[in-house]
Amino acid sequence: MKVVYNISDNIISSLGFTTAENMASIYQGCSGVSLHTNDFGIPEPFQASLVSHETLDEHFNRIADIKRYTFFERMVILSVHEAAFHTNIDLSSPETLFVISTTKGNVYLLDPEHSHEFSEERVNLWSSAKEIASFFNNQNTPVVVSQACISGVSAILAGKMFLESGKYKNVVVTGGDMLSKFIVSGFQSFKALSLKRCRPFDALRDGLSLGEGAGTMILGVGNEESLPADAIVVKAGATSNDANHISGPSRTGEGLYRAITRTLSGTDAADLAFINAHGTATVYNDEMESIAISRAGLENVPVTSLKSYIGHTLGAAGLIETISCSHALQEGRLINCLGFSDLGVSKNIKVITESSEFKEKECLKMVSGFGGCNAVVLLKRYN
Amino acid sequence: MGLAVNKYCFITPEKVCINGQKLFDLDAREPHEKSLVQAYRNLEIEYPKFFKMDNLSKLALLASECILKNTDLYEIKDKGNVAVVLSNASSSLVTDSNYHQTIDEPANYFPSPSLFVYTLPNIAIGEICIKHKIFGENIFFVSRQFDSSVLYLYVNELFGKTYTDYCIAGWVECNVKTYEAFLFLVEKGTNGRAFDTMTLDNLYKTK
Repeated sequence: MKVVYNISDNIISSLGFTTAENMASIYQGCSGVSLHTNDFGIPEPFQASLVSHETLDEHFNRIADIKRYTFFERMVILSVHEAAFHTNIDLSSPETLFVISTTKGNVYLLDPEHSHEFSEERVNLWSSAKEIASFFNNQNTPVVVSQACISGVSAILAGKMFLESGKYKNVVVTGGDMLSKFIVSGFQSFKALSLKRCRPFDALRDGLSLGEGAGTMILGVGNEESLPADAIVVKAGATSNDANHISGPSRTGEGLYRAITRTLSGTDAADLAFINAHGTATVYNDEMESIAISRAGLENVPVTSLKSYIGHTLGAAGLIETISCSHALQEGRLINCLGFSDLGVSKNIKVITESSEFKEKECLKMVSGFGGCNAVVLLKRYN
Repeated sequence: MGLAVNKYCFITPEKVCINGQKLFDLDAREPHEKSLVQAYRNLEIEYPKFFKMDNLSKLALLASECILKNTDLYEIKDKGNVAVVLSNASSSLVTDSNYHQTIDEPANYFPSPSLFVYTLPNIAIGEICIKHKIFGENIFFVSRQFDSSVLYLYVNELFGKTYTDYCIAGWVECNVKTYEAFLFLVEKGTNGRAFDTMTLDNLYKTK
């Protein structure tokens, strides 16, 4: 049987510029979230996980001229470059497709302070995506997925479908988001940000921490029998809308519940090592997720969130967090839910407080976002 | 398994058409906000939430109404098997710019949450799902032009791989100059035009 699997990946976040650096920091319990005052011309302080411009540019300078690309594009290009570096995949091949996930791309170019820096066209997601794919001499029109906070998982699932169609040999699923006045002020206007580092699922949680970054998963398709050792397969996935409210999660977790059950059809819950939740640490999101997990009969599966390590990285979140899941499955070691101490949701879910080892081979990654959208992906480790 | 398109619609500042037939004219000289409301009135929709939406969501909602009305699907209370696949060129840029004006100047800094929520293109999908109780697969693509090959490839896979029996798909573009919706309903069977890129390109040309 043909399956879609992860050939190579990369994570860029405040915790590092490679997947290995990020995973090492996460397992050590390091957080990149910190307090920022006067950044982006925002009057109120906020917690966020920011990528160092200097370090990024130090890396980027080795591959191209930093002035030709926006910060968003530099993160994504570097991420793809790093992911492809140790592979023999031809990124310029007509059989390679770029699928790019982002919520706001270069939206900072709307700021009169920055609008002169690039052509007017560049604020369009398709234009920015074209620059990214062209950097790697890829001639296919890149597919852009822009679907709020589920963009990353949606892009992975779309990538899987494009591979299964037989038209492509490899799909580079990449994406990211950079923080700006636009994004931070918007979340503040929603009163969605915590003044302290976010605490997913905790009784004292009071909002999210933002983050920026990029992630890349290079997907390939192969026969189940001939996969490389420890390959991570994108086994299944689903998206579903709450059909309830555009800015508040469903009280019954309807869309997420449906996405989970569709994803798990044919899978035994006993095979699940953990659930990597969206876990933004807003009161309503985490409560909604606990309800969906409980309705799906998964109350005994260990749950974690990465938001207290790297913040909510928006269009990159689904990618970065799925990549982390893929490495956690290979390591066989749970990721502790940093900042959690007392259960603060109505369902008795098992939030991870200790990074113990496990033997199960599958895990679920879930995300939910504005517009009532939800997405779930199921990963499996093959030996 | 064959897939077919037997319902499609266009909405532009000039007119609203379903399956190639003009339903009514709109006044293209009016601002977009006004002609979209004109279309809402002419389509006889009773949905007060419409008035708080941004133009992109208004456009998408009107087009979804054109596609679903008078079909068997319309009355089904729980549409778990209906997917929504939308695309456009400008994402939510019109609303993005409007939102940006609320934060441009420090002296006049008052970020608006009701505008901010519409600074995501997939909100238009959310509005369609809320109105019609749709719980199926959904995704939003951004491309420079109407891209029949991506829509075809993706929707075709959806039918083969997921719980999808119907798919509302197409293009909902809203920019400062104009707006344009081209939505179509894909379903199983052979009733209608065969669902392929040629059909989509030919239909899109008739706008």
